[in-house]
Amino acid sequence: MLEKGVISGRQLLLLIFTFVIASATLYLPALTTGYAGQDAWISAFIGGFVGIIVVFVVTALGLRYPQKNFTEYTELIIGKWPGKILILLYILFYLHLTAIVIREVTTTVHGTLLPKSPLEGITFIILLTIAYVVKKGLEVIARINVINLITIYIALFTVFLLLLKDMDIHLLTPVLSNGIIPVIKASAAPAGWFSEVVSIAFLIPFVNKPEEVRINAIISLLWTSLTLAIITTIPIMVFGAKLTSHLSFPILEAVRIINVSGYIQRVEIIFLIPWLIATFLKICFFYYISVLIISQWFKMRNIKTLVLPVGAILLTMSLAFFRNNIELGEFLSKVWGLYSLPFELAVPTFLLIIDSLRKKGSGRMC
Amino acid sequence: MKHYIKITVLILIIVFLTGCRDRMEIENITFPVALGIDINEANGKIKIYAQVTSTSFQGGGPGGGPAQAAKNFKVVEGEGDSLFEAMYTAVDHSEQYISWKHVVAVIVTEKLARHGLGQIMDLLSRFEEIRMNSYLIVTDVDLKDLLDSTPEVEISVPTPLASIQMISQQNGNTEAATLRDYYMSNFCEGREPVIPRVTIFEKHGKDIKLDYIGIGAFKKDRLAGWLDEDETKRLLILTSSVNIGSMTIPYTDDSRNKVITLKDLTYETKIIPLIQENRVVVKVKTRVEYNLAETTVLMPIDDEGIKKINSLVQSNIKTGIEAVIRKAQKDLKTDILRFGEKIYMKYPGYWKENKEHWPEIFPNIEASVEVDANLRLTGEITQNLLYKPGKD
Repeated sequence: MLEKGVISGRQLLLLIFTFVIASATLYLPALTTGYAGQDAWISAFIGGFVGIIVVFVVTALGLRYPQKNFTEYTELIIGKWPGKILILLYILFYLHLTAIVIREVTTTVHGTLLPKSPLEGITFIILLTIAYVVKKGLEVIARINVINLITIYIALFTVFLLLLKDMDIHLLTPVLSNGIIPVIKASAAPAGWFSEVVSIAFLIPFVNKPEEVRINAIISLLWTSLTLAIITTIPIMVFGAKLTSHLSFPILEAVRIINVSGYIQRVEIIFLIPWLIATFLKICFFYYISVLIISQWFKMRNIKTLVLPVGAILLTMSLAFFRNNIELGEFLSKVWGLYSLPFELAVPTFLLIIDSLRKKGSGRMC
Repeated sequence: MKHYIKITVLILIIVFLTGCRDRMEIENITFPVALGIDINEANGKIKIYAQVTSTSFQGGGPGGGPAQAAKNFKVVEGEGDSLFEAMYTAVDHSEQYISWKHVVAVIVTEKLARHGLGQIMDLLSRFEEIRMNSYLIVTDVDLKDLLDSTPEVEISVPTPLASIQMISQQNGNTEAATLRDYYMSNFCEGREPVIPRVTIFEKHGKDIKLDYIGIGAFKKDRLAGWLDEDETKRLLILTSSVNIGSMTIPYTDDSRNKVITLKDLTYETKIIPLIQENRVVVKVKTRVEYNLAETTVLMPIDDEGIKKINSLVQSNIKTGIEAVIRKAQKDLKTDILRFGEKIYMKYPGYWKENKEHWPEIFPNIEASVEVDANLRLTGEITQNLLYKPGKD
């Protein structure tokens, strides 16, 4: 084992919650209402359901190879070199994923808080801090996350309360007026987000009771679907579905209109800061996993050596992949679901099938 | 040695920390509070008037007392092919950095409203410095007159403009509309925007008296016509949840000095669309509750009397609502009543088929109005003090 950090099942549950909720909060409502209109909140549940399938597949594999993670047992299942090539694809996928999340944060900060600061500067500062956390290891990330989650919930709850007077529940009607097809189309993006839960495949060995991972992950996904559905309904009830789909950051815009008798107003920062920390942790998490896979791929002893080099790659990737926020939005809504699901669902399922066919799972130690 | 390296690194990081990059002293920034937009129809140029209150000429301060009353604002003008360009020529004329973050009211002229607001709305929605909960107001007077003058009580115009929410709550002659309401009316199925109208009703040099009179009804982004105060009240009963402050109704048709005034009207309106043989019929059901504010009629306020008042109110509101519906259907031909939205919510299939033809369908919808009025309280006295039982 490369890393000695041990996290508990509960901490994993909270980590999954953070990394699904973090970027989805700002981007999801605009994406899903574009397809599904006021029924967008349903797509959060469909996405969550796909996520739960991923959990079943991944934990089934993980429990057959205790003390091994995805990188290691892939090589055992499909052979050394095919396994190496497959993991190489995963390395690229995770680097790309991390770069996208970094770009999500920097775009938001650039677009809302610091419009005149250079994007490169913002990215550099954020990455530098994140690299520090990643160097400290998984346990630290999990613990910061527990603390931050409380603030996220308080922020979300406050926002919801302060917006109550601006909401109109009738804007959610008519339900399913165009049938279920648009809702399923809209679920592609949230399904991609939820299926990021595949990352637990790399972490099962670090959890102190691996057999509890499945139930914890499922609880977490149900909770996340519910939260995301609420997050989607807030802007729909405030702005109506069509206007929501035109906004860059619907939930942030909803927070911006909060005005309670002229006293409580311009409160977006109480929402933005917890969100920023959550996304920060999400980046830490995926950055950590990228580093972990790469060092396992190269069979390196110490993963800390790779933190800064990988950071440099991420910096350039996040800056180079998208030219503007529209490109990022289009990528997330149109490409992301279909691009990520093969890695998140298809490949693990494929491995599980091969493994079952070769009957070489259960309890075998290598 | 190791410590020195750490400290050096820390200091270096602090230097590069993202923070206030374009730092600006607050004395050098002006904050427009009201943004007036006009159009020059001859050449299609947008003209803006921004009323700025600058911190640098804010006299008085704590203990300054009445010195505050001096004029502490100015109006900067700008012109350009697009709104943004116009706003930035205003920057040239203002000699200071302009931050648009505190715009509380956007005022458009009638000319621009009739020309179409679509042109300016893109910037207002896209520009991050202008908030979605700024009030949107339409005016039929000269913008420069309006913004450059002093209202009687307040120091500058935006303050009374921004208090529209409060005013509308008290008298119900108008309804505040924010930019968000306007965008929503454009985007939600079956809605049309309404924007309150402000006007000057008395003018002595630079001193003016402002008044909100009714609202402007829009069709898509163009002004279709005005509703006066009474019509606005009836429209609010139909579409909004704002309570109406007061309403005066004549006791008999012939005499104007026998009136009953009601206050604190709360109401609950249901607009129920029905589709019968592919024709739309709308049923409006309203329940109004109110308190008695004043009566100049010497009548007994007992069970009978209250029934009488209730029936008077019922017929008054009923005819009023019917008149507004007729006006929207026949004169303005715009669905400010939100019938379309109600149909979309109840019959999405029908709406999808007939959405395109809605402008033709709407004027011919049959609407029936039912009003149920109830008096709740009569105030500190029951009978008028001059009333003597037995005499009428």
